[in-house]
Amino acid sequence: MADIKLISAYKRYDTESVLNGVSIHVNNGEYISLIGASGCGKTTTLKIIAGLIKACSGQVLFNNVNASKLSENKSRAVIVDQNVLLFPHMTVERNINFGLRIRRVSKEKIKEKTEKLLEMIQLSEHKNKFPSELSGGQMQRVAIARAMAIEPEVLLLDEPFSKLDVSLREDMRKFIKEVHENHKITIIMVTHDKEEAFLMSDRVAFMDNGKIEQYDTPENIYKRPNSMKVARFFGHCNFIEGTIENSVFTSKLGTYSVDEKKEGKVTMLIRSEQIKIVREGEQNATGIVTDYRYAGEKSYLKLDSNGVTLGIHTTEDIKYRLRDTIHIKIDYKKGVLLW
Amino acid sequence: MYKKLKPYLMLLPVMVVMSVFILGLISAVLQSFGYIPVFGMSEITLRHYINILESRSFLRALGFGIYISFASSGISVFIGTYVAYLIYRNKKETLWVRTLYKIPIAVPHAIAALLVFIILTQSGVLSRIFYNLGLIDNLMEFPELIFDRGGIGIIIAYTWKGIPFIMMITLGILKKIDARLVDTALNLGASKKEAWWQVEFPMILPTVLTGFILLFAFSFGAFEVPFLIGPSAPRALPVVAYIQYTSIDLSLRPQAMVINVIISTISLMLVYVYILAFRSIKKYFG
Amino acid sequence: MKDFFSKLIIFIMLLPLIPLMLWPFIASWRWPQLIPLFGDARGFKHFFSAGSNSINILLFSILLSIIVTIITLAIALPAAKAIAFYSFKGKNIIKTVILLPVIVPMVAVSMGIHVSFIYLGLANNCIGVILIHLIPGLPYAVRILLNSFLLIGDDIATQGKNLGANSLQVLWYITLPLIMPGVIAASTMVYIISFSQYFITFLIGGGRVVTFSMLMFPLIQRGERVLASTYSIVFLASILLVVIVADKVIKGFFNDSNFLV
Repeated sequence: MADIKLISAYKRYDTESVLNGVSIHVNNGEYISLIGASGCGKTTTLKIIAGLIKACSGQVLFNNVNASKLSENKSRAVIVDQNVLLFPHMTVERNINFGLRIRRVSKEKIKEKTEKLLEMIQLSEHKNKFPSELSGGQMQRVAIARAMAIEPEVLLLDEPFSKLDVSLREDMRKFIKEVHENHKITIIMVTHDKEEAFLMSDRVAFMDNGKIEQYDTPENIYKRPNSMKVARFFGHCNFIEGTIENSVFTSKLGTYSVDEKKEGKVTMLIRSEQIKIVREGEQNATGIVTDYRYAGEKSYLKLDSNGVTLGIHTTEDIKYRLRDTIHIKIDYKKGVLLW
Repeated sequence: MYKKLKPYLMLLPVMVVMSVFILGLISAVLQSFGYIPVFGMSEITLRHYINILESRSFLRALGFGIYISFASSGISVFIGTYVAYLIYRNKKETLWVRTLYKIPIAVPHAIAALLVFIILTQSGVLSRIFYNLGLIDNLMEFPELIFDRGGIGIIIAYTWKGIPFIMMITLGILKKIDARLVDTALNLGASKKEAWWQVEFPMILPTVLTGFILLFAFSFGAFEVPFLIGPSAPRALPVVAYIQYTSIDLSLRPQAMVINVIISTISLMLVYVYILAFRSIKKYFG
Repeated sequence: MKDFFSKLIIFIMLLPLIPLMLWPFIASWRWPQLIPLFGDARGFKHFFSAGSNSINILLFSILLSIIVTIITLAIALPAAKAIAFYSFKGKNIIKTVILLPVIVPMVAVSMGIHVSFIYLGLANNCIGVILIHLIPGLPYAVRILLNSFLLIGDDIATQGKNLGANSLQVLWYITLPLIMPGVIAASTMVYIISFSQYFITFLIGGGRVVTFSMLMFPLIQRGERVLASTYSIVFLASILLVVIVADKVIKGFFNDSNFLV
């Protein structure tokens, strides 16, 4: 079990600068996600921690010991990839105990551990099958068992479910969650799926352009994003421009008193679920429908409210038409001020 | 109806040619049992098989053939896979290395035999070098490597062609191994050496095996090289078959066919092993 | 060090070709001289002399092997396509049968079928020789073309049909250009195999059909180093020439307006 520290990692490839000073501290037993758009550097960060890539500068510390100083057999950061990469010429059983065989663990111990792991992934009857005979989900589970067999300090997952069917993904997420809970292992997962990051992780690190923009619990990163970039990534945003003077926020949509001493121009972030459609009389703003999309569970609407474009959604089964006027109530209390 | 027949129609020409092949084999079998109506032999008998299988010279020839094929194919595989591995590991290898080594593959066996002759005969290039290095004093001291009972010349000729062939197929299959598999093994704690023996080597093994089988089968059934630079005793099986076939004594014909059938049977057994190896290849590489 | 070793092995293996190339020009090379006495290229003189008829035989052999190559490819193409894109009963058996000539030697087969060929009038003439030459090259042609077809996949042809082309147009404008590299590889292979054949030509041709191989073989057998080397060099050079020319021709054919709709 290890507590992982990555300190000021920089990485460039020729002219491209992929990591611009990434520092992150993962506590022992924590499950964190690295999330961001393609090319933000999340996979590179993971591979540096795994030891697959060397950073141009920076350090990787496992329990405060420099990773490159640790002997080969200790402190492994094992990476499991979306490409699974099982050894095609070995059976499920031999794939799983590969790491143990390399370490010359005794035959009895190998047998014992392999049986336990096979049970954990529920593939005991398939132990003599070859990877070519397994389904995608089964292969993924074997890959995880193979990683777990050597009891790594940290388990690194690189978009592990992206190649699986949607229905399979839920089962796999449950499975990983259980593995995490039962074995209390430190996990760092790279994903581009924010729902997945929120569901699985204790903390989420949002990366952009080779830097970590915010590293916080899912709730905080959603409710209290520290920038528009972060806010935009995790959900639909309505940005309302305005000013604050005397603790009053004034915008084209009206005024609202805020608990804020600072004064000047500011943008207030209001999530679409913080704007509700209400009956006449209960509103604090109105809008004219400029777009309406039906999406099953919900419908998405775009409103023009006194020149401000707002995006909202509703679960009510009402067909709105363009140019309808709608009464809305904006929950300013939940708004986030971004300077 | 046409839809169903279509693939069979497309395969018709190739099967016509193949039927000539199969008929050749069947005909050889029939003739080996003594059934050659054109010659007036029409009784089926096992006599010829008994003659051959009891004959000392046949057994010696059989052993000789197996020895030659095994040695030349084995050496080719050893050296070929090792050199291929070296080239594969050294990514910076220049183009000329990767093309030049293939030359012997295009050279026919008869010319390979000529090359062996030029170099290794007692009056050949190597013996002159030995003399000038002071290793021998006269022609006769240079060992007999051609026309010798050990079949050394034959083995060298086959090996000369065999090594590049094995190199070619080994490099071909090494290229196909997903490099990330090696990374995965390293990440799980294996050293570079362990990664080779546990991952890369077993994955190329079936392919190398098919190469061995091809070399073995070819050398076992080939006529040219042993005829040109082989000893007069023991002779390689195809040469024996040929001599008996072209004999004026037509009653020897069935015996020639017995030898042909034996050669073909051994080859067919090799086909079976080949197919098994091929299945493994498909399993590993999809 | 290891790097050097691999280069060393390759160098050693190519060394024998040097004396081969020297022999045609040697007047005498007494043992134990390391350097031979060069004379006029009597090997080549002999080759080019009218009496030896060698040039005619060479041209005849090239023609023969080209014919064999063309027929083999024509047979192998539909076969490879069928195996690549269709599933049908007996597929595995057929694949195995096509594989056989690679492992089961032609020696036995040709001796076996010889009598029947004589009976059918196929012996001692070109037709029989061409027929028997078709066998050893076929498996390689089918295998190479099969790989080509599998690499391209069925979809592109379907795409063409979708856009309105008929089967013949699809074959000509889409499929053939795409499998061109496979066609070149297969042709080269089959040509070399056919041109190098000795035993089966000798047996089935009965000495009446004389190929260049048959001219060269006895020279090697008799140990006549000058002539054997000369003919060997001509042999190798002619293969190289034909392969290069064929490569250009086939590529040119495919790049030409024949294939631009």
